[in-house]
Amino acid sequence: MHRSRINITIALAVMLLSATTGYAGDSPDDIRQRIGAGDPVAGKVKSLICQACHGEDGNPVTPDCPKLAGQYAAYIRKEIKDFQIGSRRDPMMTEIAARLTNEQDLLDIAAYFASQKQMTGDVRLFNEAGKRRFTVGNGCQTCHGVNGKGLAPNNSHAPVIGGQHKAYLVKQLKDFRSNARSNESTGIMGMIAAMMSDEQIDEVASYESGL
Amino acid sequence: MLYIKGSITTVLALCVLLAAKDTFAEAYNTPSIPVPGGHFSTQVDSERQEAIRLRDRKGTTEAGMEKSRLCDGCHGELGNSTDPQIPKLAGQYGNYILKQVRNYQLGTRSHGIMSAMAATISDDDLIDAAAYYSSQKMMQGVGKAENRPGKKLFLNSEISYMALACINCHGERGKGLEPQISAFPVIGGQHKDYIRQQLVNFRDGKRTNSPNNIMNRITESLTDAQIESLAEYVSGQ
Repeated sequence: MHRSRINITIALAVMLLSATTGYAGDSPDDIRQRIGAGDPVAGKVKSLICQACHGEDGNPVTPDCPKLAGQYAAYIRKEIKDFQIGSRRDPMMTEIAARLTNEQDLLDIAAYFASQKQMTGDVRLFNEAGKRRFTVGNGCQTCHGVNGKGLAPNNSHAPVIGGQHKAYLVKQLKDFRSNARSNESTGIMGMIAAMMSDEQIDEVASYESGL
Repeated sequence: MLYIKGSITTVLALCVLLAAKDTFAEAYNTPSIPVPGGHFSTQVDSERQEAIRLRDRKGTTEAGMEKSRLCDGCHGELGNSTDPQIPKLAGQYGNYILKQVRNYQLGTRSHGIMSAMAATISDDDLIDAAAYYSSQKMMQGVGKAENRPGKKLFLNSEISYMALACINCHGERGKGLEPQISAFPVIGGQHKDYIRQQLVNFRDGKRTNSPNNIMNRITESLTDAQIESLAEYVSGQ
């Protein structure tokens, strides 16, 4: 009787403690979940045209194209679907998404990029303001996880952002702010971005890109 | 027994509190701009309206005919340039033209004349002009006898970066992919001198505005002779 009470207390404490440490992201099981249902080996061949812009391993050298390395397959798939139906718009991606009508191809391509070593920043663009906005209270970390590496092994909603190209992050935040991008279904990204000035966007994107 | 249980519970409770501190304690200190009356600022509002308007704006060929008169001066009537140094625009993807002009405006692509011309056109006019050119009959080559080495290079991925050959992105005979990808422009039937110059510029790092610098890497190991063959094949299509 007493023993089981202690066990329960310990179990609860452990759960609460681990809730604050966040999701680490690179265990084989995590990777498997991140990859989802597609076949990354088939995906490598199918994604040749994607690799032209997004890089062979999902790490493009120029910041105009976002890194896809280690991004959730489910998130990649969701964004492609959104480009297809027009709830997200980009002159290049809209056309490219239109070609990905085969569900298996889409799953495989997404799996390929998800299976790559997760994106990281080259340079630690540390700034105190950006870090505070990211980590403190209801900061970005709440949904995007510690170091922006994601909050759960499989997530179609809040993507990996830590280590993403800064210019891309800035553009997305500005697009959320101006509603040029509005495919985040809860509306929270729009609300968050609308409260940020150009300088604050720059600060937090700098910080995130270095993670 | 009770004493031990009590102290373990207390210690655990303290651990939980310490761990929870970071998550919950600073909720009231989140930095943010004060938003007057809970509405978005007027700056955000007008930014938002302009961005949406430009995003959704479809150019019209009728309006484009007017807006493109200045461009016709060099690029030729209907975009069929007769000067081999100046690229044909007839049938080129509208979004590709948009991107190039915007790159000239930003300086990520540069050319003595185009950089200056790009600075004079407004976004609205540009969208119309691009639509106008893209709706024209696609550029045609003069159809020389098939250039075997050039065609082989065009189809063959061995010389290129990764497993991509020209045809994979630029489509059969360089007429673009179906359905189109504006990021990979129509090149079949383009002027030979212009194609040669662009390949050289990519190879030598003078032009660096292709997505992810893909064109720089693809042309990296091309010899002058290979570039010549490719330009001859592609321009004849």
